[in-house]
Amino acid sequence: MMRKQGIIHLVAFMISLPLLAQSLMDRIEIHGLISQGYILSSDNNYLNMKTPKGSYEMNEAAINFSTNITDRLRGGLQLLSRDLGKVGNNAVMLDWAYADYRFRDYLGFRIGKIKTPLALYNEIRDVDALRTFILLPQSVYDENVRDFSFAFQGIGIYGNVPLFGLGDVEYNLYTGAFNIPNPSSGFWYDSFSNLATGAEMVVANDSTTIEKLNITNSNVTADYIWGGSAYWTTPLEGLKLGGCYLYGSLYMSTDIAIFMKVTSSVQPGSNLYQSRQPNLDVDVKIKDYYTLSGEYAIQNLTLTGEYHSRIYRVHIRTSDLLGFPIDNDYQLIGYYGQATYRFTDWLEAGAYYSFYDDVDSHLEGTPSWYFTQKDICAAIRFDITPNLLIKFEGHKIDGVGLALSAENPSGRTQHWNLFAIKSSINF
Amino acid sequence: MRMCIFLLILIGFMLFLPLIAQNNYIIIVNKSAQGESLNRGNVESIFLGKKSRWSDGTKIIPVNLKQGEVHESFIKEVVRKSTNAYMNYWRKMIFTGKGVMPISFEDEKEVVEYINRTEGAIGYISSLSLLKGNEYVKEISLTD
Repeated sequence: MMRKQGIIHLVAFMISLPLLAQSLMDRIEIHGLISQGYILSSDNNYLNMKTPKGSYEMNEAAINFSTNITDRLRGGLQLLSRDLGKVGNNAVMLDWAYADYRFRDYLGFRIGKIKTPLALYNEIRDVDALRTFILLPQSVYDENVRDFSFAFQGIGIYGNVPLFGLGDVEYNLYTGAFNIPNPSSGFWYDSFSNLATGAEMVVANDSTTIEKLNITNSNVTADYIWGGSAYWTTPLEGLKLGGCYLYGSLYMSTDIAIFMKVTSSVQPGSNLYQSRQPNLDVDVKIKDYYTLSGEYAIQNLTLTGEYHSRIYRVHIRTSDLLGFPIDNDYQLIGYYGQATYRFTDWLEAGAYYSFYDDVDSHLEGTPSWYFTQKDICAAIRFDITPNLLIKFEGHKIDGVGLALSAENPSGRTQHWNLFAIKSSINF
Repeated sequence: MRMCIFLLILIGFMLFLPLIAQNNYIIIVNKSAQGESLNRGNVESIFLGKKSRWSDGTKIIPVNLKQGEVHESFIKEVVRKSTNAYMNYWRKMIFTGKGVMPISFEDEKEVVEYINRTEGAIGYISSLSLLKGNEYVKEISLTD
């Protein structure tokens, strides 16, 4: 008798499974995007791509799932695959995944992997459909430092606070850790190369010639991050003002092998060959990373401006080499102003001017355009259907502050142009 | 000179012409929210997901039309966004995991029927005549 009842219960459960699955599917929202671009520059390898030859290594694909678990609790995740030159290579990664408990409109909590709320567009930098331009102004949305600015694992507090006739403020506070998915490419490779160049400058003198320089065992470990943002939707229709702040810590280490030819002072004309193999440990604090933002939307015209500054406090220790340890602050600034206009449901155009300056890296005797980058961009976007679009974009650039030296071993050109085309679908 | 002034006036008129209130929508709610006092700012917050609860704690369910003149007027005049900007706002919420697009219908009759059976729901339609037979749906007027 008991066995018969058990079988009946099991069968009932199995019959109900499709219904349960359907019920769950009915409650789960699924959305996604796919985009593919092509980029070509007149000079200078850019954004980890050999752009003078043209590159298709610019794409994103994402799918997300989310559901309301209870009346106040939501959960969801997004998987992202992207490629930008040597970075990403379409590895599937967890873009975000978190639980969101909305206690009140003015107070909610998030735990998990969360997109970092920095500036106006950081959280959506991979969603091509949400902007006019293919490339966000790199002076503020520097792809080179995406690793520590795009998402963090930790906790966040958020809310929207009405200001009783003076609009409302949307705020975020967060703390956690972040990953470095690509510690050996792009920005990090350039950083280690610069460290090696620094070591080279320490050992080189009138009688020493550097024959070869090897960088091995490079490692980047992220430590912690915390920050916040606040954006005021003002009572003036269409005007939004705000800012964000971030503080983070990470650790870099690398082994450098320097092979030198030393001219002997005892026996002129004869040479000695030596090597030195220091290990460099670098503590980096990302401090005073902030962006001030303003956006004004009237009718179909949107005007946006942002100013960004960040400081890296770098402490370098070494097992060898004179001249170390080194403590230095390096400041970088960037700003842009842009205008976009939607002419019809299917046509939008925009332009921006962007300026970047690696302020504390300027070297006497080196032209300033090595450390700055001025970018004038014009773009046009066609929404073929509500879910399919194509964009065309051109850039006139003065300076190579954001075109990494490690990506351009043959040298860089001051004045250069860039063209990009990209198509996206979203659902 | 006169031509310049004329052109400036004409351009200014064309820019501000759409701002002249067309107000071809009425706002409706499920009877459970009938006693609520709402101004334009409250409704804007509701349709942007910033205000999620009625005063008694019931969850607010905003309901959109998918397209049409009534939808465009409401989004422009109450939510203060273009329909493209409104769509992009919710796409941002979706692709950052912060929310889901409000439920939307092609037909005003479907909007009324949904609000009629859903506690806490609020939406907009063109005519009160559509409410006939739906006893749990009421018009709500916005306070100043």
